[in-house]
Amino acid sequence: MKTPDKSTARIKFVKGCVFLGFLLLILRLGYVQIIYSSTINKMVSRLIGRESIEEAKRGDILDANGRILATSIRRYVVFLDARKISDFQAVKKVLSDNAITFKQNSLQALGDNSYVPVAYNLSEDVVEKIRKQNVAGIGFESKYTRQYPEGSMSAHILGVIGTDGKGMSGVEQEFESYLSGTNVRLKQKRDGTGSILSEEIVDKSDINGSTVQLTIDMNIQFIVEQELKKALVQSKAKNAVGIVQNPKTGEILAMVTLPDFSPSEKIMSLASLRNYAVSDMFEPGSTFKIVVVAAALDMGEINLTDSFFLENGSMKIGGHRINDDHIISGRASVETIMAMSSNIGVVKIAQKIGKDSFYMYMRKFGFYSLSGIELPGEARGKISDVRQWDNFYLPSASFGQGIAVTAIQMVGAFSVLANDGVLMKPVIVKEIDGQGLSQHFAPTQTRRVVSSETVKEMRQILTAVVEKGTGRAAKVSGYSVAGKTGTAQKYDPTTKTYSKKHYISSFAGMFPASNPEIVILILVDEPVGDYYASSISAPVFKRIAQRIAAYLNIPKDE
Amino acid sequence: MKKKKLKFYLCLGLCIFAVFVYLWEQVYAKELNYRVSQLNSHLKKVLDENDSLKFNRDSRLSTENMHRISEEKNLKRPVDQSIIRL
Repeated sequence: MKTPDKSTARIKFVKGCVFLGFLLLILRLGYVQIIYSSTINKMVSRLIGRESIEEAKRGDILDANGRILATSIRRYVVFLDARKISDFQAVKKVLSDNAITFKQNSLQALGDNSYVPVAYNLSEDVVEKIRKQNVAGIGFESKYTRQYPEGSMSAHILGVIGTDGKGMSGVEQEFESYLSGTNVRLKQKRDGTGSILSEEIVDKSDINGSTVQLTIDMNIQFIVEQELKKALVQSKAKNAVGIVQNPKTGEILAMVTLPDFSPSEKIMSLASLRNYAVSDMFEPGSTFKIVVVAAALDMGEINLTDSFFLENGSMKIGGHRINDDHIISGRASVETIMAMSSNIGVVKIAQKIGKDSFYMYMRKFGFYSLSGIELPGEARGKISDVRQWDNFYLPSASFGQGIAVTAIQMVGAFSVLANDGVLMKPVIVKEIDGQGLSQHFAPTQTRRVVSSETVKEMRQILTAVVEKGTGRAAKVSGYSVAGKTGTAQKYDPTTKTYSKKHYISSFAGMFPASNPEIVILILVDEPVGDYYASSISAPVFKRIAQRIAAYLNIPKDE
Repeated sequence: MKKKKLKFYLCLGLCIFAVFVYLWEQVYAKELNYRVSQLNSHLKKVLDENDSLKFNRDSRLSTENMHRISEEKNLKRPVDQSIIRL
């Protein structure tokens, strides 16, 4: 029989051992939870911590009415992982049920590749259908792709983005820093199954690109594009350009360069991205005569009642012979000189103002200067330094040959005469909105070029061009139209002379002439057969002006 | 004596309750994190789908499409006299 003391001692011993055990456990718990916790947390973070990149969505490009011209949407690439495929036929069947075919006919043909792309640009619903089939070896990669709901319309203005997602031309390039947004790295924790335990969440509106709204009105752009395409086909021309500008604000309402391209498709040649309206120079021909006549009127060297002897249509100057297409015998008024586009008449007016003043007015009208339009690749044009002008430079420049201008400069010059003599900076972007900022581009006056009085006289002259002269085909019923035709020979670099076969046919005009709301420039490069502006460009102007007048509800003034 | 025992058991009970709350919060927070992540993924999907639908809508309403439909249906602009501007 055990004594009571021994059994009490055993109980106490067991209690002590149990207590010690718990004490050790608590101490161990305390050590792990308190002293060793930071090391454990670091180890766990390394195991379960991940970084992911939250891709910023590229900003949209809108037209003047808020219509989307370019946007980014998520699309998927479907790829095959050869190392995970267990049933090749099942993979082939699932993909072919969703209209995806690929050239490899066996698993061996895929080799050991873990990434064999088989389809691009797929939408979420197609991907979901394939995912639901749960076939091993099919993977999906998503990324934002740029889409253009209006197709090839305004392609040259919008531009394209490269495979790196950066703008390569047009507005996409010029406003890259606003459109691109900012990708951010986010920390995540994932469990053993790959599910996200916790992650940093970012407000997408803080990282997405800004929206860029253009001044382009898609309805006007469509009108110009449609009419210009008809003209391009009918005249079998090489290129065509059409620009519509609001002369009072400088806003470009439409800018078309043909032939165009589709920004959603693969670009076969970088040359097709070139925006003729901004980047190419041409000899303007008779449309440039407005500079001479406006300068002479503004300087008071001539007035509307003056007349000039037109040498019976042929004159020799500086070793060259100048001819008039429409021969006028005897004398002609300034109005008739412009209406019938007399080269000789304009040369005589230019000689009155002299080369220094002529050069000054050329520069005042914006020629041989960058207009500042927010598009890349703008050309400056070419006008020789006035100190190097020989005896023939002033005469030839007066009727728009021997100099080079851009279409955007030419439309700007006509806008001066539509805007009371003030040159406005051409604007193609109206507003940028996003990432907490909103930037509005207000109209900017560049300078006063000629007086209001000169403008009134010029509009009278240019109205006569359309009413009685070479621009009759541009007359729009119900509206007074002021404009000028231009038919310029192109310089042939191989023969080093002016070509007798290749011409640039142009017409620039404004309406209603009494208070112009719209200025339009039409340019057709190398029309085949008939090349005169009165037959090629002026009728295009008329059709476009008629349709724009109806669209904008411009009140008739006749 | 009884009061002391009562205080002891009360403190013990509070400690066990605190430990229970802590453990519950750890588990519940993890579940909430899963739920938030799922909702975040769902939000991204919905936003992407929204973008895609907007693009489809805009493509169908493109200027060229509208013009083609108007030509097919032989729609013409009404004469000025029949237009009422409000």
